[in-house]
Amino acid sequence: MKRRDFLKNMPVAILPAVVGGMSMKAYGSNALLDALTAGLIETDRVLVIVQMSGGNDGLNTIIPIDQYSAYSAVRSTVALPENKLLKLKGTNGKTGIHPAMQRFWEMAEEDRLSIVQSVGYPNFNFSHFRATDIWMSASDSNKVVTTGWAGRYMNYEYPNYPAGFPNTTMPDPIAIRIGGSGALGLQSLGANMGLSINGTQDLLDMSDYIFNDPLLGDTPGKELAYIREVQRQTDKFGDVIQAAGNKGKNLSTLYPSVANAPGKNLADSLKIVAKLISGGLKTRIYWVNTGGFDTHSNQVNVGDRTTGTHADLLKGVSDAVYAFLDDCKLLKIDERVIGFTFSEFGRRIKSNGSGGTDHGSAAPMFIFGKKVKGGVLGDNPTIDPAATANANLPMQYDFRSVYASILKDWFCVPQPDLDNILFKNFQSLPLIDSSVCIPTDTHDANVKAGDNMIMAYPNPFTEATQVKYETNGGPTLIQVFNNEGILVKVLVDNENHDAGQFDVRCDLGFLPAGVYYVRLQNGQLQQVKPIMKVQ
Amino acid sequence: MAEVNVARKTYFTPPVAPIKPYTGQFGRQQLKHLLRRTLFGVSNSDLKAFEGKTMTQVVDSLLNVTNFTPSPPVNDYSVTLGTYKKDPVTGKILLDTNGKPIVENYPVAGEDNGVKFGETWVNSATTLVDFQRRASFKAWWIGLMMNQERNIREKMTLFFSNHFAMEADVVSMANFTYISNQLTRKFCLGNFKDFVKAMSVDPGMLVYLNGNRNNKSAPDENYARELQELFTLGKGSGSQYTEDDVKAAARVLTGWTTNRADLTTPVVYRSAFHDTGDKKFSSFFGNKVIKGDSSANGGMNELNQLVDMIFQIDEVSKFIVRKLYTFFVYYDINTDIEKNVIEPLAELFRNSSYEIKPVLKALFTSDEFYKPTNMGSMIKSPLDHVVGLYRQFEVAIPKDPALFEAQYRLWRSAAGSTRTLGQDIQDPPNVAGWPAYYQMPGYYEMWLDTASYPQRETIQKGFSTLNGFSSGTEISNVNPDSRNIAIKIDYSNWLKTFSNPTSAFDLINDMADLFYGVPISQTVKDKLKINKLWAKQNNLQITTDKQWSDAVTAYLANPLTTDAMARTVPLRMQILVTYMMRAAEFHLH
Repeated sequence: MKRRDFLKNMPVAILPAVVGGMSMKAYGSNALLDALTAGLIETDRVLVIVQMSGGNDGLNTIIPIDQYSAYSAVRSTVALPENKLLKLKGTNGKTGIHPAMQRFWEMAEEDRLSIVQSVGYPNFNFSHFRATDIWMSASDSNKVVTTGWAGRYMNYEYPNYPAGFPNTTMPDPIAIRIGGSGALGLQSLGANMGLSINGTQDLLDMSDYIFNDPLLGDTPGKELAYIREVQRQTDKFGDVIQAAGNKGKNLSTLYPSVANAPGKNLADSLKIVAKLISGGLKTRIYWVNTGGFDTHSNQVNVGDRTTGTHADLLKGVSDAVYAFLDDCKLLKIDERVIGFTFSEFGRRIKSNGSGGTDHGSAAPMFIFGKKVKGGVLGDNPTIDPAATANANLPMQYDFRSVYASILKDWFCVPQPDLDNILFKNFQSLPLIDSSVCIPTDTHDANVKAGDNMIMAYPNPFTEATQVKYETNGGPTLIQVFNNEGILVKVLVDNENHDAGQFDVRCDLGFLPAGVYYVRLQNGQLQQVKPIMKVQ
Repeated sequence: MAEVNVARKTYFTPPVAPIKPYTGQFGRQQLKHLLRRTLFGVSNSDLKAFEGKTMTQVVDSLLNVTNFTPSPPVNDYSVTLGTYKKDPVTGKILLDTNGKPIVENYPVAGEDNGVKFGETWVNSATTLVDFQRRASFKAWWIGLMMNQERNIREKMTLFFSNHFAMEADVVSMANFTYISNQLTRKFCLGNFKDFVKAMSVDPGMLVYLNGNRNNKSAPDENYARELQELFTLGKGSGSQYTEDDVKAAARVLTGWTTNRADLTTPVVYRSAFHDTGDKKFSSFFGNKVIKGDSSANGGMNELNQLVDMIFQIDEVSKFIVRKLYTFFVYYDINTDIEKNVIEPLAELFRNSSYEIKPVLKALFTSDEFYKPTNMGSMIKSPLDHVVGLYRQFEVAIPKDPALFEAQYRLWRSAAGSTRTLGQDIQDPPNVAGWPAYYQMPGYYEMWLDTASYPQRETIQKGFSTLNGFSSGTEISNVNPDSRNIAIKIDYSNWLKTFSNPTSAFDLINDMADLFYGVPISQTVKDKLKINKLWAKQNNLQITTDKQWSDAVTAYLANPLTTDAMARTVPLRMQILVTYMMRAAEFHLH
């Protein structure tokens, strides 16, 4: 039994004695006490993902001051003046941040911002879409994976979703995307784990819905059942969102509020996030977007290069996130919230002929929140003063290391499960105060939430395992996918069943060891469970 | 040719019985089903146009496309917008007598690389504002769907643009994307084998799958792989090409380059880049050897042999027919359908030398196509949904090319809607096309989830309840008539397309029949009448069939009537329509 399971299964009365043997201090301020007194809901952690679409110019975001002459030589049309750069704490003046990111600089001073230098992956792709897919799926650049890294994490946490959701263990959406529809990042095999909203109004009011004719068992009836299930979930979650929106608040006065102010749209999205968290949603992941980073031309004002398109974009992110953290603090939820920014790629080392920069490779990432360690991770990139137009920064850190560190240190995912979610073992980075992984994990309850329609025993297994499944009757399909979402086997091919429990043998002796997913589909219900084949 | 005969021996399918033709009644339900699957949305006028015709007559008419090359997309973007007139003291935006902001300083429209505002950019080679050209291209294409003739051209163009999927964003040259689209239009009802040959040296495809970087010293396998895996043979059990076949095909395809600077020669074959060694294929292809050809035409000669070799394998015909079946009928291909539908159609495809039309004709006149379980079994794609709204309600869209600003604004907005719903036209997620067209087990179900469902409701609600789409006040001074054009449902005209709108019973019956993939009960229809159509409005309420009949008669005689009850009709209709579109049944067709 894992330690956290052991703790979780203890009667509450004896918990203090058990934890007494560990250093209370190691758990940080009062998080543990909160956990013990206020119940699990209050300690559920939240991750906010800020997607900066278009490819942010990393070299004009975090600037290697120690190589200023090379930097200004290769970026003749866009280089920022040295005396305007804000020097980052702990770098001996060697690393600067764009002056438009004054607020991020302040957050770095207060250890509420971690910066990871030159994040990327081997064999860069320069297509916006493809590169975005790579960041979302956490695949190798030459592999197409149809599920998202966060979606796989959520499937690990709530493997029964969407069958029987919402329920008392998870009454809320597991993930929410503000603006835009289902991101690949939140996609699990066969189901998007994210609910897309534009505000806290009810998404779908089905209260006066009259189209309830009985379903026929034929093909159109099957599809109609599917649509009705989508409607039901949208309706239920819509009610939850509206209730949380009414209950929640925004207290910060720092959000950019003037129309067209940099960061206004991002701030509006983050306001919804703060409101929903303070309104009591147990939602784990929020996904927000801000666009316009594809700065091929005129990214700076010629008269004052610290201003212009790119400066406004950076100021927008910095101001909006700062206000959001201020809000979290005032709402007393700052212990529970971290976030990070990402962009599908950075830009070339050399500026181009039109006062901008073209699609490039590695770029810095920001991780923000009270619980981050702070500081700049990694060295300044080396800039060759003779860099050619096509020259790109080499990566220092794989972006999946950032994901791995967050899943491990924030969501407390144990290493073997983590390796399954990200397909392999990635280096862990010191980004988050790792003592936050207190034993209040609700994983076991989450795993049981919803209708458990399919399971495998033994699991892990070497050659074959027995799959037990439940069907409501009618055509039932059971498939096995590999971790790239490719179908490797059909165990039950839409055979007609009576309602009840059944068994089928799943022999994967011919396949390599690794994680596979068994997927059951019965009418509008579907469920995916990971199984593991070992040597 | 001896090698090829071996392949035929091993993989040749024995002759099969032809597909069973449909011999039942060809009534309104069958006609509606056929039109729903072959057009984007079906209107009363569409149904009327084919009324009384036989199945063969209708199918022939749908397959009889004469105009494959509509006029090209234009520059709708080289313009900066006017500004609102403001009170010099208070800074407030001034309004005209209609309460609309007054616009001043209409700029004279600009140019893009010498292409004037309103002229086509397809012959002007530049990528300077390519994102604008791509948006113009997408708008144009949506416009062609909205204004489609009553034939299958637009559906087949979509089918093959999804089959030979390319992302305009990656190609990054709208001129090339337009050329690919033209090629698709030309071949979408033509010969599939010739189509594959032409697509293999299409400039957009050469860019998209790196064919233009495939040369003898550094072969790039991207296109060679997809040519087999996605475009011809597929990944089914009957497809057994090897990794070495991919490598050999890549060598055959070396030497083709693209030229973005001169659109008269967008593709240039360079024999110096071509691998002139012999290419040996596996036993799946009968150990065929394609001899290296160093002549000026070597690349094309070898490409022809490669495609001919691939088309010797029967699996090509089955793979394409399965895809057509999934696109037009349903996605569940069980062993019975494989045997009774796929195999006979595949044989027909082969016997017709891979002409597409005979296969479509056989499919659309087959017993399988008209099975009741296949009617209303398909979840609408975003394009079916959005374009279908405009067509179903017979919304008048300005046809005069002089009003292109208003047209393109509408089309760009519609393209934005389908993108929001998950179908960004000409920018599918990857080379496999949209997963909803191929990804088991969900297929079309993937179009709808908790994220996209409410978006559909928002879009259809905006379409039916607001004052429609307005071209806006901020329009250049090229043609001020493009300003403030409202593009919306005209309820008086639309009501007239029904056989008996003065009867609420008949009207709701006919609307349900027009809208829904599956029937709804009389109980629900009665509720629609009482709760929605006849709900109280400003203390006026229709409560009897006679009152409805009188009100509609008066309204249709004069839409600007002063009769208070008659004046409630358009709003009552709007509320009914909005509500009826909320049914789950609305998303099936």
